[in-house]
Amino acid sequence: MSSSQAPSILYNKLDDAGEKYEHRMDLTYDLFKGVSFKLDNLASEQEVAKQIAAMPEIKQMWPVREYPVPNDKIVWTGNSNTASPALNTINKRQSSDNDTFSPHVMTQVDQLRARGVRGAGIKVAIVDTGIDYDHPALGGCFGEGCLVSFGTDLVGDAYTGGAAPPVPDDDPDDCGGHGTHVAGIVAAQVNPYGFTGAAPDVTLGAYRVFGCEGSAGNDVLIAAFNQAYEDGADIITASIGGASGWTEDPWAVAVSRIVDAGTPCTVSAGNSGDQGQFYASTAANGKGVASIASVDNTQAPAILLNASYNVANSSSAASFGWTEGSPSGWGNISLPLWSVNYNTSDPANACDPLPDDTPDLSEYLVLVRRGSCTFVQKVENVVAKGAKYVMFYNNAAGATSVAADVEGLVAVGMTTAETGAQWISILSNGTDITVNIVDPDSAGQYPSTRDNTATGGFLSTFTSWGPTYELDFYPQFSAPGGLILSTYPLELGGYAVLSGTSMACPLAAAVYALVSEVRGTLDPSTLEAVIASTANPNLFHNGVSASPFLAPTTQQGAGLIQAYDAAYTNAFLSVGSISFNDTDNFLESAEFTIRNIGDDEITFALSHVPAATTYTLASDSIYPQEFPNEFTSSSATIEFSEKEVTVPGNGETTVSMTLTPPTGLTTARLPVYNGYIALNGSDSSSLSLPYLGVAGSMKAATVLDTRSTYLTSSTDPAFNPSAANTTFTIPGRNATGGANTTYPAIAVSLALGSPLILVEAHPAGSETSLGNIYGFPSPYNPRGATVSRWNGLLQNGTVVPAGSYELVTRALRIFGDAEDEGDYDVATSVPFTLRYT
Amino acid sequence: MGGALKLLSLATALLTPLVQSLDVPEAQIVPGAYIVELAENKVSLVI
Repeated sequence: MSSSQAPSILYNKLDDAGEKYEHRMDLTYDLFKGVSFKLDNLASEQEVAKQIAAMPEIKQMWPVREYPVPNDKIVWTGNSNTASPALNTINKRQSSDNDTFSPHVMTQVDQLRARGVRGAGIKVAIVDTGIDYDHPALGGCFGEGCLVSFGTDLVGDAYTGGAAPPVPDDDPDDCGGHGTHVAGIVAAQVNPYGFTGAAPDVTLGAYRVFGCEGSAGNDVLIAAFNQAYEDGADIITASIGGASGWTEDPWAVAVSRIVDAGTPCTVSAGNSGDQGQFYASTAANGKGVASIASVDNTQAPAILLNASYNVANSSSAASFGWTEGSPSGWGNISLPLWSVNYNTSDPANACDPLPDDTPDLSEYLVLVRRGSCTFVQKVENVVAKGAKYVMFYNNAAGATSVAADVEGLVAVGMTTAETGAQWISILSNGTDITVNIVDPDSAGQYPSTRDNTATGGFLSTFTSWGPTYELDFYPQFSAPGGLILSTYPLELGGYAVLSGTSMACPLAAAVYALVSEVRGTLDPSTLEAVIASTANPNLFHNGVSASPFLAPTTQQGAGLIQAYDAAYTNAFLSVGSISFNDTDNFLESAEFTIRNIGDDEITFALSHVPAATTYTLASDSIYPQEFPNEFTSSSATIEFSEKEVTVPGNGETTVSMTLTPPTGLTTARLPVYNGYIALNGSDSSSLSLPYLGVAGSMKAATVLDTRSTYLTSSTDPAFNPSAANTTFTIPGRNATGGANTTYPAIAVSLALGSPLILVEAHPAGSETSLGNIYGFPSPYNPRGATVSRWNGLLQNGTVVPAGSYELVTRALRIFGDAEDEGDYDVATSVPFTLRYT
Repeated sequence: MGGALKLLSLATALLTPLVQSLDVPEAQIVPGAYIVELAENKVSLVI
């Protein structure tokens, strides 16, 4: 029978049982055959769901979970009323052929672009909020022949996640903004802001999974990935995720199948760096899925107000950028420029009262250098000579907002150090300058950048850390995601600067497109291995300063993508990473193959470069330590079969190695040792292979916080512990409780993820289990706290009689044996009484 | 009684990390909504 008939069998069964339901989505695809639905009667849905799960036609059943739009930081957005920037400024920036966009320079995309590699012929599907395809930098149209040439809206504008079903339509336009920003990072065309996407010749697919507000269900996400795959997407990318840490999550499983079928998938690693290690996100943590971490841009985009100036009597005006301050009564003015002096390194410009021969400054724009004393003090000194309008020039990067509310001053602003120096140079030659200010409310924008000397090039502090609980390597590699300028819906300003792994992920997807264009393959494992082995490992940065040691591979993966090297290196490694796992599952020796596709032999010197060994758990705690984690200098040692290997032209050589974990560590805190195997080739190539392992036992680690796992009540907004012997009076089996009905509930706090949680009902004081309460066993749980109410229904479909009970929560430890009672952490609730109305 | 009070106050004190954890955005379950995957090799048995 066709798979489309199977849901009807399911629905016939529900009809026969008199259950009302709502069909949500057909999931009828080559790689996933199923359906999603919602049962209307929440009083009986648990029992019905159990019967459905037991049907022979059903292979697996999961609750629908919803994932929010990532919490990326919006640094700046354009103004839709004044969106046109200063074009004569843009002309000094990059053209399509000369790529100087800093995220591209950081990742060698500029070098591929110089060779004309632009992703031609490759279809990249973006699963997100849709794409504003009307945007001129995104092609201006949707459909065949357009940049956004395929895709669909799987949910409709009104979809918010939650119980309401998606209402698909054919129009994947974007009302949120996230997807349009992602799309521009991949393939934006030449635009007034002077950047393009990394792969501007790809065609884009827009698979919209969010409405204008709210979240996306994982049924929608599974459908979107499979639809994109069946529509012939060559690469699928999603900057979406939720806390998981388990490769078995249903969305992750669905994406892994697509990767196994030969289509690379990139998914953002997550923006939960503050949570410390072991905070992998789904579906990025799926097997074979490329999880993308974020580094900060070396150039911080800064969008200033546009104004102009004329030199002497020239009619040709030049643009400059500035920032308004307070007061800001600028209006539209043209005034001659007057400077306190012509010294561009004067540390105390206008800190002292101006000399007696200073002219009346009321008809000038007064130029003052920043520094040494307060803005107010400087302004008071020039206002004393009649100044009404003051323009500071900076003594540092960029132009910041100035507050100098001094009586008599009409307006103040700041321009850059470069503009100030240019003006001083002209004035010092005795040449006049007239500055033309357009009121800030209607001024255009002046795109600019400044060096990000604080964090540029380092891992973003927000980027989520791996590995998965079963020690799969995570993330795979990193790309610029902090402070990224890209397209934004026209109605939201047209352009925006955002920060998040959401911004790193599409750049990685674009690099997959560029590298696959050069290499002529889309094989996911080949591309992952070649991108990983050519990536640049980076030093650790805590957000304030850099450390002299490499950031852990659990934060940066293989390092910052280097697209040109990935596309053209003659040497491939057979794997992208190695996990030596924990002490219980230790991989004593490992091997990898170096393949040389060039004609000349290459000799590689092998060495080991440790990165920072990182404690997972806080000292004397079962909980992971928050960012930044404690490091230790104790690292693993690696012995290679040979210190130098020669790989013949068009041949391959296998390297084997044995690793000895570091010693002297507090193994109970789950120290993660990690680093790189470095291969320096005689052809000047430099490859690296990242690895990780845990110098401790994952199974020995406590997963359940037994002191914070307790009985509570469903209507307590703070979920405080219920007192012993509390009586809960709830509706009977066939009755529906109102919103105010107080059910007993179990609060379960996981310090680490658990592969299986059981919550069993016992008669109070008895060790005899009546069975799991409905909703349990719960497989593959992320860390954190959850509260589950109980209506008396057991997982076996029976309802317990009125009486006194305890709830016994058992959480299986990581790598634990579900059949071994000793592998569970156990918490028993206080007794309580259950009564039915 | 004294013991119960002590336990309650201990549990309350320990609630802080729980509440913090609840603040972390997590994937929420949609009540009553399910995804099912069909067992293709068993589907033919029910025709």
